[in-house]
Amino acid sequence: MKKLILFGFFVGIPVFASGNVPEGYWFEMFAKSVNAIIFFGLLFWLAKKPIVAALRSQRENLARQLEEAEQKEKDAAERLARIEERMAGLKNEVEEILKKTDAAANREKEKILEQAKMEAEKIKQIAEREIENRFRTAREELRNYMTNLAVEKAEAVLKEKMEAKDVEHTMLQYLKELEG
Amino acid sequence: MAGQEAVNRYARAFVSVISGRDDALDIYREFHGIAKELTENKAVVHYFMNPSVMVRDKVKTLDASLADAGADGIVRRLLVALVRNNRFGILKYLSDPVRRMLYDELGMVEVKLTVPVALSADMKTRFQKAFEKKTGKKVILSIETDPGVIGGAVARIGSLLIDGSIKTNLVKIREKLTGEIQWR
Repeated sequence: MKKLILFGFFVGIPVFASGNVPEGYWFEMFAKSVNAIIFFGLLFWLAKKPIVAALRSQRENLARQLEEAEQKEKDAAERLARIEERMAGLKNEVEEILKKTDAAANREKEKILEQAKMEAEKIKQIAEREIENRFRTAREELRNYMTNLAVEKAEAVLKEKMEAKDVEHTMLQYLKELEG
Repeated sequence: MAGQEAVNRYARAFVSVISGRDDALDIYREFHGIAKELTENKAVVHYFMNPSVMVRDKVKTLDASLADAGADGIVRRLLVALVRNNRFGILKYLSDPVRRMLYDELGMVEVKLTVPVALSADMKTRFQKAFEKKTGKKVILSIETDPGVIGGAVARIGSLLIDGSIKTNLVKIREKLTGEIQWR
């Protein structure tokens, strides 16, 4: 209604402003106004339902979208909570894994150290045996050398010092043993 | 070894023929001398080993040479048999087994004695008697002088070795001290 009055106001103002109202103007204005009212009424009657339906549908859509948005927000919040919870769990898990890894690394380190010690002990024993063998060989070689030298000297002394009677004595000794 | 078997076979046959004779040792000495002469002469060896020379020519040559040299019949027959049977090659290996077998047949044994200095006649006799007593056989003693023995003596009776030398005693001392066996 306000819109209709406003329409009449905007149409009538120019007419009164000119001060020259032709004959039959008001009738024509009235007829046109009636036509306009009928037209707009008809338009209203025809377009009301679809427009209202469209507006309702739009409102419902908006409401639904709002609900969906809220639901999504809730879901997102839940998911975020879950993720945060999981992240917290992951942190613990990571810490647990790190602890286990550290423990395994320490065990491995101990094992390697133990093996290294054993290897070192073996090498030490081998080296000791080798030294002992070398020492024994050197001692035997020295003893053999000394013995050979002593025997050679003894032989030389015997050859030099033994007189004919001594040699004959040794042969007589042999002969006596032979004769039994 | 086929060659060794042949040597032993010929040696046994020869010894079985001569061992019954009183002059067996003389026959052996004659055989030993002739065998040595023949085998040490390269030309003779070459002739008798030459397959292109007929066997009958070799036999004829050998027989004539031995007859000229006045060799005993048994020795001649043995040498001719060797040539005829193409066994001239074993002649140089025949002397030792013949001697061993002959000594064995005659109840004799050969003793090789190594001493540091030459022995007096008295010592030789004493050694001879001692070995005869030990072996129970008549001893053919051959004496070798080797100053390397230093003192004592070494006797070899066949495969038996009686080593009483100072040299060997020194070696034994060395072996005992070092634990090593020294091969001389």
